[in-house]
Amino acid sequence: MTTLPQTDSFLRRLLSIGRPRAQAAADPVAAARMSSDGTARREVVEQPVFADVDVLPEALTEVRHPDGRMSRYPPPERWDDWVEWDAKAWPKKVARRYTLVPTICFNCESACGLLAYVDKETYEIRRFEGNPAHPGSRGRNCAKGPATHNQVYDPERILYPLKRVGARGEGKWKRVSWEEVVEELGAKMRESRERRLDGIVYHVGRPGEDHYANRAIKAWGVDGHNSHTNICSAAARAGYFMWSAGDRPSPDYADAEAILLLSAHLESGHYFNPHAQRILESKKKGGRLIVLDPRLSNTAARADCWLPTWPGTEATVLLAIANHLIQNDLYDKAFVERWVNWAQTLESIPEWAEDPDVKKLAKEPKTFETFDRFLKTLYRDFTFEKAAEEAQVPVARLQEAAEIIARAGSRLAAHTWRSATMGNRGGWQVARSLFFLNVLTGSVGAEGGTALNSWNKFVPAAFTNPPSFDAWNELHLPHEWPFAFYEMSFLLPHFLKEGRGDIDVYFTRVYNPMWINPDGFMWLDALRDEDKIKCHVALTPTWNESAWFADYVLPMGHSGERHDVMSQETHEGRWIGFRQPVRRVAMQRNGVEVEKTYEANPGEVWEEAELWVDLSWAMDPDGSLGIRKHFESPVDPTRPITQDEYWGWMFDNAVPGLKETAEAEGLTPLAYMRKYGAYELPKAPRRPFAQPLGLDFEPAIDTQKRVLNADGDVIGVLIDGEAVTGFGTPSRKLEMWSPTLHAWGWKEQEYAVPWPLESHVGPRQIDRAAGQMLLLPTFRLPTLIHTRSANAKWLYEISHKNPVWMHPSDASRLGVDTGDTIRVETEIGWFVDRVWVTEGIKPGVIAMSHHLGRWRLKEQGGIGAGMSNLAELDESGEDKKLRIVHGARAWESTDPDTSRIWWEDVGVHQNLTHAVHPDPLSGAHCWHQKAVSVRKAKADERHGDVYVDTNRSMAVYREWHALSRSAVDHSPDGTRRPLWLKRPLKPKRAAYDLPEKPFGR
Amino acid sequence: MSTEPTTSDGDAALTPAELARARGLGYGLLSDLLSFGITESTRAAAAEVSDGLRAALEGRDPDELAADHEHAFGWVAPPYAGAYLAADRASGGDVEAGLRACFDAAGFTPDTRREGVEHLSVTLRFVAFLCGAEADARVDGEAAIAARLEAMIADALGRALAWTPVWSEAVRRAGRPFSLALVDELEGLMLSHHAALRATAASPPAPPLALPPLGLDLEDESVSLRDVAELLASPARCGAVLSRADIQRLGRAARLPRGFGDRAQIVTNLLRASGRFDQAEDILESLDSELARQADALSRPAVAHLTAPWRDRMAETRALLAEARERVRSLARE
Repeated sequence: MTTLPQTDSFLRRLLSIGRPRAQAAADPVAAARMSSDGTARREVVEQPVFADVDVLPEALTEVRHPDGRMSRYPPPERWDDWVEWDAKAWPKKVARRYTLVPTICFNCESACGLLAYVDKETYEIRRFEGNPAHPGSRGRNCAKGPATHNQVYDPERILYPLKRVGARGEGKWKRVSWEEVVEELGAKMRESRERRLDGIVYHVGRPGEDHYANRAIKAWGVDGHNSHTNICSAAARAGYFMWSAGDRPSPDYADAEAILLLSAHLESGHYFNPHAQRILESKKKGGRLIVLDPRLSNTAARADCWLPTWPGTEATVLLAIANHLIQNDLYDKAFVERWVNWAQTLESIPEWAEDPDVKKLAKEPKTFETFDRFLKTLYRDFTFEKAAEEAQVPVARLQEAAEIIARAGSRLAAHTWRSATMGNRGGWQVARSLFFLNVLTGSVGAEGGTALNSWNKFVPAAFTNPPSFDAWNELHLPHEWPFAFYEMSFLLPHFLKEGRGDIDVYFTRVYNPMWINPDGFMWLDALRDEDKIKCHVALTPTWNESAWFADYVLPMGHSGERHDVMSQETHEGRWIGFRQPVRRVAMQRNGVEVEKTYEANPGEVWEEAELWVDLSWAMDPDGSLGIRKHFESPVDPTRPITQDEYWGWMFDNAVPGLKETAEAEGLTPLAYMRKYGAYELPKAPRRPFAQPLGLDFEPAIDTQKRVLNADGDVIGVLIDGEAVTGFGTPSRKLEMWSPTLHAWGWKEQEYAVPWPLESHVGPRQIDRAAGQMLLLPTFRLPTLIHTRSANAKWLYEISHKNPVWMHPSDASRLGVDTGDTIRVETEIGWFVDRVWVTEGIKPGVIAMSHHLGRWRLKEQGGIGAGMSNLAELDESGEDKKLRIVHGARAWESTDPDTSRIWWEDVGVHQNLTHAVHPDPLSGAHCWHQKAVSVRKAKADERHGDVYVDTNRSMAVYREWHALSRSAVDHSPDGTRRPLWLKRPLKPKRAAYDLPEKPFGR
Repeated sequence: MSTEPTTSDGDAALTPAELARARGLGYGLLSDLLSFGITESTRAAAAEVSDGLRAALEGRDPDELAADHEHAFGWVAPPYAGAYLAADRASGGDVEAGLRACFDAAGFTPDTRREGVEHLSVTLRFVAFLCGAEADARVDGEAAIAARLEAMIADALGRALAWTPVWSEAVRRAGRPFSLALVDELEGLMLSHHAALRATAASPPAPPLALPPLGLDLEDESVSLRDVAELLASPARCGAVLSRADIQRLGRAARLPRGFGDRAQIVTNLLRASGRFDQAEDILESLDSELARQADALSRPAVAHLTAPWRDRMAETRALLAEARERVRSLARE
């Protein structure tokens, strides 16, 4: 029981000290601050204020979701004028009046729907919630969606265009107008374009939109697209593509009976929300989840069957499951017979088979029965016992997984994106082995199965389609990697250092190459070199490490501050989402004229959609380069096209069914999209490959039973006597054996058919007895956004540090415990981080989330003080060292929350110490690292310290470069790359010819 | 004239003016602590004047203390009168009107930039203001004015003490050292002051607290789980304070999910989950035990005279829970 305190004593003491006063609330930070050099004004974001209204709130609409959960939303008919209590004013009842504007989240590639609550009077955004009218996300969001509000009101965001005034990287900037930016950059781009067709580069992280920037690049007539695909998904794409000509899967989770995930993608943000909710639907209906991951990820924790496989052994495990299906006649023979190039595969046996018993089959009749025996012979050694031993998992659990898959039949939904495919050398064969299971179960395009992304995604056409360019950028797709999916972007600094070329105008777009790529110090050197990168323009919503080394820093909008159209393969169905600048739309609803989006956004934050129009116009003001015509208003060609005109044309003309749907509500298609923010297209066939061609002429049929038109072009394939579309592969079938790989020098068995490739970190490559370990960096905490979380206080409060996951047996061996610092040495350097001891990681493997450890070089300026380390860069020739001065700190700003930062550890930038590992075939960076040694840190090795020897960087690069098979040596037809392979932007045929003087020859 | 406190250390008793001045300073400090938490200046003052607060502050950094403060007074038990006295747990009704009338009558303008009128810190600031005026009146020999001020203080304290015992118990259950020490100090000052004022003829007795009706009939077939949850989330209706921490504790003990949302929502979730996992009877029993514990805590001598209406209401609620349990039992039998 509580006793009363010594009240008398309390009162006497009070009298003795006089009246205490509470500390006055800190004054808001002054509206303007000086930048580090005092030359430019640095504006700050004011926190939003909202108007009181004297109206009672409306009732919400309750929605029951397919997985049984319920949510409540404002009914769409009230979105224009929505009144509700202000939750922050609780317990007072204060009503606020909003106009609700839908938009699309920009914080991963799922393109979930958001609904912005914009105050009708102040135009401030109260919050972002889910858009119930969005077919992909269905009103739900992960933490990253609502955190858009943090990004909009981040007090450290960049509000005005900045131009460098000191040396590059010195951190001195002046504010310039958008007009100056457009004029100066337009002139530079024109000058480059007139001289060469590979001098302008647009380097994009996650595009977050489907066509707009690519269309602009095509209009410029340059080979300028460069993406982060090779550090993200290249290997998975290569694996899927070589089977099917589709470069990514689209699983129908909701109706699946078995879901097989090579984890790290789901919980890492790729389709996290739309996929997760459908996986739960399946589980609720009895679906079983199988996860391969050496780490007990969020996904693995929900699995019915978790297989913590040693990295690099996944293909063996998948082929053991395949073998189970094959040996027990549990595979869908009708599907395989109909859709796989089995006859071609049997023909090819002498070219690659190693097993004498398989070779013998080449002499057998080319029937499906022979193919069945071929499968049974080829994969007979992939027993559960062999796979279990290699992967270090129990045999019984492998068997269980195989039985789940066998029972599910065609209802097998499978997915891989990063993880094993991007972790290991030869990871593309992991994707190929995974899709093999889809092929064997006949689940390709089946209900509850796995489709290809293009079947569940829709990209509308724009009002003009610029022609292909006649150029090939040697810095993007060099001859050594003819199968790269796609540009070898992470090797750009290595290529520049080797003297392969230079860049006139380099745009980094919402992309931070120095921080996100491996071997970041090589990027530091490249970005500083004004002879190699002559003008660097950072298009970014917030400060980042690379922008610090830019010549122009141009503030781009977040999801509620820009126009884009986006579609994703979130489920079985097709939809488009419309991202909108919500304050601009709210103003326009109130009759306020807005000409450019930066008039409505905070400060002068702009959007690329308008910037590209103005920049392209400035590049070609008289139309002589053929660029301007693609940016002219269709109504009045003497002026640039407006956003309303651009999207209005698209929605009127290029989205099937939208016009009719809009008309039914008395709206134009543009008004419909502005109101709902998303549209679900009519259902397309589940299996487009099986669609009859419906020809009105008698086609020619070749020996492979392919259907040809009068020009001899392959347009389909004959299946059961019917001419159907087939797949986009040369054979028009699913290619188990790839004639393309064969023709381009990848003839051996381990490349020819689904087969395991020896990973650089496979069990035989890591000498655990000598203290080596495997560093697994291919995951990210699900509440973070690649390099863009450092402007979202809520997300950083949830997760901000990336300790090293370590199994207790390893921790005991090294004599460390949770919280101790360790030094991890890689092939090119080392870093120091704290340990988190957990049984959730496989012994011998250490893991670190790869999206933390942000840093800045000056106390004032750069990334927010609560989200980054203050660092010192110590450079001595090729030796580079990053030392952390201090971690996160609270600071005063217009946002009172910044003074409440309670954490200090914001992680360690491990990527700096990662050597580049370009996969010899797919070109993917193979992320897993060999930890040469792991030991307890010494007294002078502080948390966050990073050391790299860039001489070693180049040495490792050369080791991997030597594994590639150049088109110069292997191209069967004098081209750089197989013509049917995808590129984000394909040049004209003539550009495919190998150069006369290939680099290095 | 107020009854002077006895001294524990043998010093001479404080004069009435000193006592009033000291109380004014005390309420001011406690108001600041409740509103701002620990700042540089309140930390020094709190440690100097109170052994309990000093012990709670020792060795703890400002971030920890800020988190402790936010947890207790922002999350577990926000000290807003309406949250405890109004049936719908909202402020802005009669409770606020009553407080505003008190403030107006005394010529006091509350500073509501940080907290609303119903926040306890505003009442404490008001009492501090009155105590200061009383001290001045006593120094000036204005006994009649001092007596009028005492009556106003008694009224303000009476309004606060109508609900602060149930609130302070909720804070204590959260078990955070700083907030615990703060409510101990606060309750000590208010109760001793109120007791002293009750002993004087100048202060009329406060009218008995009238809680709104319980307002739930299980015979009514339209009654939903949400209705039961709304009742349990409303201290004025059920007599008890089921804070977020309390609900979490109950859910955790039963290994049942609570989900997210306001308190009524998470109680709804808890009840719904208990049904889904065949633990409805158990959870109703846990709720009953919780109410019994709270009633017991409120019957301690220091506050028993203030808490009878709350305990009576808890008894009614417990009867309703027993009835609900019986229904669950018979449904299970069917």
